[in-house]
Amino acid sequence: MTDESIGGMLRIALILTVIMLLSAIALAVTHIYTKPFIDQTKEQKLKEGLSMVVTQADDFKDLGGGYYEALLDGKVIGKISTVYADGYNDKIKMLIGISDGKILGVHILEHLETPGLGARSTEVRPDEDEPWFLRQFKGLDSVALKKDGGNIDAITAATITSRAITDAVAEELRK
Amino acid sequence: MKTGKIIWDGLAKQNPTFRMALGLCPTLAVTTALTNGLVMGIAVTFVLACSNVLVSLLRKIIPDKVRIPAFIVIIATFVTIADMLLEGFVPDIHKTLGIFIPLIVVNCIILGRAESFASKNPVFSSLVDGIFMGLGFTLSLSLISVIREVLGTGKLIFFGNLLFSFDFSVLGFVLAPGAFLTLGLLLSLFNYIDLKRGTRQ
Repeated sequence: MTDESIGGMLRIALILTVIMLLSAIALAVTHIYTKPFIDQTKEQKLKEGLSMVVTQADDFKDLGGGYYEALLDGKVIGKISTVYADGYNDKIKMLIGISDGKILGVHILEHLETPGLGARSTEVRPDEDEPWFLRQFKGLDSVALKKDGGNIDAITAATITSRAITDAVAEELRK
Repeated sequence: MKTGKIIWDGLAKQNPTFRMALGLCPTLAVTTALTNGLVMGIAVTFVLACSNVLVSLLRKIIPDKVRIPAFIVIIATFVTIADMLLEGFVPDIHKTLGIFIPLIVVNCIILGRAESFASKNPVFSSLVDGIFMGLGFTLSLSLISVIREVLGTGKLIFFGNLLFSFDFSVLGFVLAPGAFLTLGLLLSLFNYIDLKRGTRQ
């Protein structure tokens, strides 16, 4: 049976289909197996992120839709929103905490920025406990990169990432 | 083919990075720190060994005309599995490697071994070839990573543990130019050694 005959072509298509099917099954099994671990990590990262954004808070209330309230002794001391910035490679998922028009804290949950460049937005310097880039936002009521005439130092060779994060914070402050 | 020869080919004689100069994009991009380079190497080794075995098993079934799409599907499947496993069990490293894990799919070492070795050789040889080509890649990445991390940051960190540090660093080495410089110098060093030994083909 040659490849040019109808049967030959059907055989090729059949083999490819079987390979695709097996691939899909393998992926589904791995997905089902790893999903609980991935979800657990995400939840833990979210909790850590929330307490990084509003360090004073002792509890957080999930308002749904990516919004949270930071509580201290039962009183609301800040609002936290989940915000997506247009990063260099993909969306940057961040938490921004605001109280009385001032930034309480910014935290990056997920990103696909370039390692060594944009990914340095989450870089923590030795002997420090939070990323130096994000710490700059704390306590400010308006933000812009220094090269745009503002008050935030950009990350070396990662202006797009720096600007994306800064713009997202500025946008959130305007709300 | 003798197992010993396959092992030696993978580790040194046909070293993917320094001999065949394949898969240079991740080589240049993720070698900013030893841990990154090492995990990237292990992920590639896993994908390479699995895809080599499967390609070898299926080498008589896969029609020649559609072998490339079939190889790509097999490789992409293992890459996605590696991606999910890393995200589930070592989330921090998964986060640092980010986009380069999915990009293992287009790493030419893997397709190259499937096409030039696994599709023509029995399963055991292909497994050995995959493991040792992967280890050759891992060693190369680790070597470049150590040089860049030590010179660029003045310290060496292994999975979060500080191994040593000193007061000297040239930031450029962890940035892109450092990647090219380090790779170029190492390539010329290995070529020089080969010339001296007269084994350059």
